[in-house]
Amino acid sequence: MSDLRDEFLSEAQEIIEALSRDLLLLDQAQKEGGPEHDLVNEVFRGVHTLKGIAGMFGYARIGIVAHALEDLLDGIRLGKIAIDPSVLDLLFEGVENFQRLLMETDDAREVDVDVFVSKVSQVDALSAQRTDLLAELDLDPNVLAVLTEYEEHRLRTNVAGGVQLFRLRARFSLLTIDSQLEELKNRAKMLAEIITYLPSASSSGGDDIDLDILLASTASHEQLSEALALDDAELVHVGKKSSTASPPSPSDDPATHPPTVHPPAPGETDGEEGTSPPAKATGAAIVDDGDDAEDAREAADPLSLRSVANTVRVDIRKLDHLMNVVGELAIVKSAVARMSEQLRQRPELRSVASELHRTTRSFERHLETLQEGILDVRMVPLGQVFDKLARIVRQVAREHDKDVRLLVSGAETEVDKLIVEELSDPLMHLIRNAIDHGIEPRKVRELAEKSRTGTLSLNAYQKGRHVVIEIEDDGAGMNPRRLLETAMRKGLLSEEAADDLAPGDLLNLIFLPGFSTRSAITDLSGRGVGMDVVKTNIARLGGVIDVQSEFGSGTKFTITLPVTLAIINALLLEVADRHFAIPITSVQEAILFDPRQVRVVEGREMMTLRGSTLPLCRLRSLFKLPRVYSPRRFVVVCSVGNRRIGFVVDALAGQQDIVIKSLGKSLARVRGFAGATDLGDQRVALVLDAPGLLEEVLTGPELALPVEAPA
Amino acid sequence: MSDVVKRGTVAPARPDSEAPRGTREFLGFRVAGEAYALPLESVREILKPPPVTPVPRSHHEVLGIITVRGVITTVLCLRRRLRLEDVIGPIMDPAAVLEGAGRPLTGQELREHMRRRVEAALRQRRILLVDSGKEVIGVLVDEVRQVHRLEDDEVELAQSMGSDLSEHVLGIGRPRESARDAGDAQSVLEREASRRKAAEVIVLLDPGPLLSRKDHR
Repeated sequence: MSDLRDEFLSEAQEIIEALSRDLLLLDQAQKEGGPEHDLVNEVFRGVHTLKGIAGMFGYARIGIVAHALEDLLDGIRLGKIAIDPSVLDLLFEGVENFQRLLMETDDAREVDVDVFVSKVSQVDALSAQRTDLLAELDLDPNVLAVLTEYEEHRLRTNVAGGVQLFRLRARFSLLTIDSQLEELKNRAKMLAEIITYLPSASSSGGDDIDLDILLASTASHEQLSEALALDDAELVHVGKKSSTASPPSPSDDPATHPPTVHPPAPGETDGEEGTSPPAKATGAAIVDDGDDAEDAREAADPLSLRSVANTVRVDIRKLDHLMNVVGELAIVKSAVARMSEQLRQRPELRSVASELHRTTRSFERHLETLQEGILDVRMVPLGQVFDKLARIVRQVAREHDKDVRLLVSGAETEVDKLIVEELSDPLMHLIRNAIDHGIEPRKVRELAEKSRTGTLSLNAYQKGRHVVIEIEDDGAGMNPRRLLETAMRKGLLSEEAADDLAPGDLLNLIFLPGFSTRSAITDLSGRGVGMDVVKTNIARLGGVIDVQSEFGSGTKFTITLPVTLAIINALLLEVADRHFAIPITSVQEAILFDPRQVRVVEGREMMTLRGSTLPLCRLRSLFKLPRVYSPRRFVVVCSVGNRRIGFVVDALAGQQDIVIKSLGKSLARVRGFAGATDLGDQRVALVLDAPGLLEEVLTGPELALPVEAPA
Repeated sequence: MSDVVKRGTVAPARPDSEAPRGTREFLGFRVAGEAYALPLESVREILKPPPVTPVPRSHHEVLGIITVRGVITTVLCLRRRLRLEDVIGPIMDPAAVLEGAGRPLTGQELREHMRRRVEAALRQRRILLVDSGKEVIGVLVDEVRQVHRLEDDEVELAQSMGSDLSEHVLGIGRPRESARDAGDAQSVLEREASRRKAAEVIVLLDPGPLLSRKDHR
C-alpha cells in the first residue's frame, strides 16, 4: 500500500511540476498577447488528473482545490474569464497549495482551502457580471445553443477581439462533401477562421446538403467572397443586434432559413448523421482537427495512463542497492583477476590461466557497461529544478514589484538525481537573493540607464566530468568596501585580517557564517539562512561556489559540481599506513615531494610548481596521525574551481573505481570526508572531501574563525 | 513493563509473543569486567570484529568504521562510552599473570603468558549491531554472555532509583536464581556458585540515549 502511495506522490509531483511549467508559459503568452488555448487545456487536463488520483488516495483537500481550479480553467477555456495577472496569481496559488498539501508540510495546515475556493468563486462571479458579448450578436440563439464549448470560446475570442463575423451558406453534395469542405477550409484559411458549420435543413435536393458556416475574418466582405469563390454560396455579414438595421436573421429570410434548423430533415440523411444531433456532428468534425476542448475531460485519464506506460518510476534507494551489488561484483572481479595472475605462475596451468584471463576481461567489460547503465538511469535533466526556480522568480519578482526576465539555457544538462534534489534549495536561495538584493527597483534602474526589466540568467553546461551552473543578474552588484565594513562591524574579521585580505577575497566574505548586508531583514532572503549554508550544501555535493561581481553592473555565481556521486574513479593514497581515496576528478597531478622546495610563508608551507605557488597541506598533521617512515613522499595536486592545493602523502596506491558510501549519521559532523568505500577484503578507505578540505585549509583560520567571538 | 517501554526508545519487536507476560529479554555482555545488557530486540547481529578503519577527527568514543554487507557502519567503543577502565591493562598485570600461572615464570614465559591472556581476551570480543532507533551502530564489547529473561520484579527501573543515574541506563536487572540452575547443580559448592552468579547486578542499557549522543566526532 505504501508503494502505491509513493507511486501516487511521485506522479502527483510530476503533475504539479508540469502544471507550474505550463502556467509559466501561460504567463508568458498572456504578456505577449493572446493565451494559447492548448496550454489552458493542458493545465486543465493536469488538474483533472490530479483531482482523480488525489481522490483515490484520500487527499480530500487537494480534490477541493483542484475542483475550484477546474471551474476557473473552464471559465477561461470558454472565454468567460479573461486571463489577467490576478487570475494567473490565483492559478499559481492553486498549484502552490497542491504542493503544500501534497508534502503535508507544516505550512500545509495554513492552506485554507475554503479561502481559496471563495477567491476562485469571486473571480467566477465577477466574470458572470460582464455583459455577454454573444447575446448582442445578430445570430440565431439556436445556433449559439448548439456550439461546442470550444467553438463558443473561439467565437467569443474573435468577437472580443473585434473581428468581423460572417455567415456563409453553401450547398454541398453529400458524396463529395468531405473534399469540398476541405477545399473551402483551405481557401478560407488565409483570410478567415472557420468557427463552425451547421447543417441547415433547407436542402432542395436529396443528394445535397446546405451548410451554415460561421466565419471570423478581418477581411472585408468582398475580399472574403472572392477568396472563397463558391458558386452556390451566400455570404452574410453578422453584425451586432443594436448596430445593424436588419432584423434578426431567423425572420430575415424565412424561406431560405427556416427556424427549424435542427435537427436535419429526415429522409435526406438516413445514416448515422441523421440520428445524431448537429452539434455532435460538428463536434466530431473538429475532433479530426485534434483540438476539441470538450474532449479534454474524457481524454485526461487515458492520456495520463499512456504517458506512464513506457516509463518506470524507481526509488533511488533501489538504484543505490544495485550500485552496491555492482561494487561487490567489482571486488569479486579483482579477486578472480588475482587468482588468474597466480595461476599464470604455474607453467602447466598457463593455458587455463590465459583463458581465465580472457574471461575476466570480458566480465570486466560487461560490468563496466552495467555500471554505466545504472549511472545513466540516475541521470536527470537540470530542467527539473530550473522549472521550480522559474516559478520562484515570477513569485518573488511580483512580491517585490520588480520586472525580471529569466533566461534559461542548458536545462537539458544531466546530473545525478541526488544532486538535482539537493540543488534546489541552494539555487532557490541564490535566485531570491538576486532578485531581492541584486536587481534594483525600476526607478533606480532607470536612473542607472539600465532597462527597466532586470535580467536573471541561469546557465548550465557540462565541462569535462563536472557540471557548471551559473546564476547571473544585471543588478546592482556588490560593493566590496561595504562588504568589508559589514564583516568588521559584525566581528567576523579583525582589522589586521582585513588589511591582509586580497581584493579578490573580499567577495568571499559573503560566505562567512552570520554575514548579511541588509540591515532590515526582508521577508525573502533574510531568513537566517545565509550564503554560508548555500556554500556548505554545495560542498556536501562535492562542488564549489565562486562569486564574481562588478559594483553597479551585476553579480555572477558559478557552481561547479561533479556529474555523479555514485561511482567515481579515485586515486588511492597512503598516509601513516592508512588508505584514503580521493576522487580523480579533483586531482590534477601527483608529483614527488621534495622537502628542499618547501618555503614557509606566514606559517604556511608552500612550494613552487612550474612558476606558481602551491600551498601544501600535510594530511598526516591535518588528521593527527602518527609519523611513519617513508623513503619518499608525494604531493597530490588538487584543484577545485580555480583554487589549488597540494596534499602531502606517504605513498600512492593506484587508481580504482570506487562506490562512495555515506558515513552514518553519527559521523555526519566529522569534516573532511565525503564518505567511505569498500576496498574488498573487509578493508574500508575513507574518501577525502577534496573541496571541503581545500576550503578548510585555504580559507584558513583567519577567515573561517571569528577573531573574537562575542560571548 | 509499560514504564520500561516508555523510557526506552526501541519498542519491543515481539511483544510478549515468546516470553511470558511481564518478561523482557536482554542480551547480557561484559565490558571491563562489568555486566551490562541491552534489550534483545535492539540487537540486530553479533559480529566477530572485522578490521576497523579509524576515522580521524571523530569523537574518541568512535573506534572507526566497518563494512557490513556493503553498508558503512560506525563502531563505538562501549568501554570509552561508559567511561570504564581499560580491560587489557589488568590482564597484562604481571602479578595477575603469575597468580594465573600458579608457579614462578621466567621473563620469556611471562611475556608468552601475557600474550596468550591478551589474545584470549581479544578473541572474546564482539561487535553488537544495535539499532538506536535512528541508525544501526556497532558496539564493541569484551564478551557476550547470555540472554536474560527478566520478569518485571527482577528489574529496578531507573526512575524509581533517583536521578543520579545516566540517561542511557534503563534500570538495574537482578535475576533470581533460576529453578533449572538450582536443580541441575549437583554439589553444594556448585549450587552456591550458581546462586552467586544469579544474584549479580546487571546494568540494563537504553540503546536510544546510549547511541544517539550528539557529539560523536
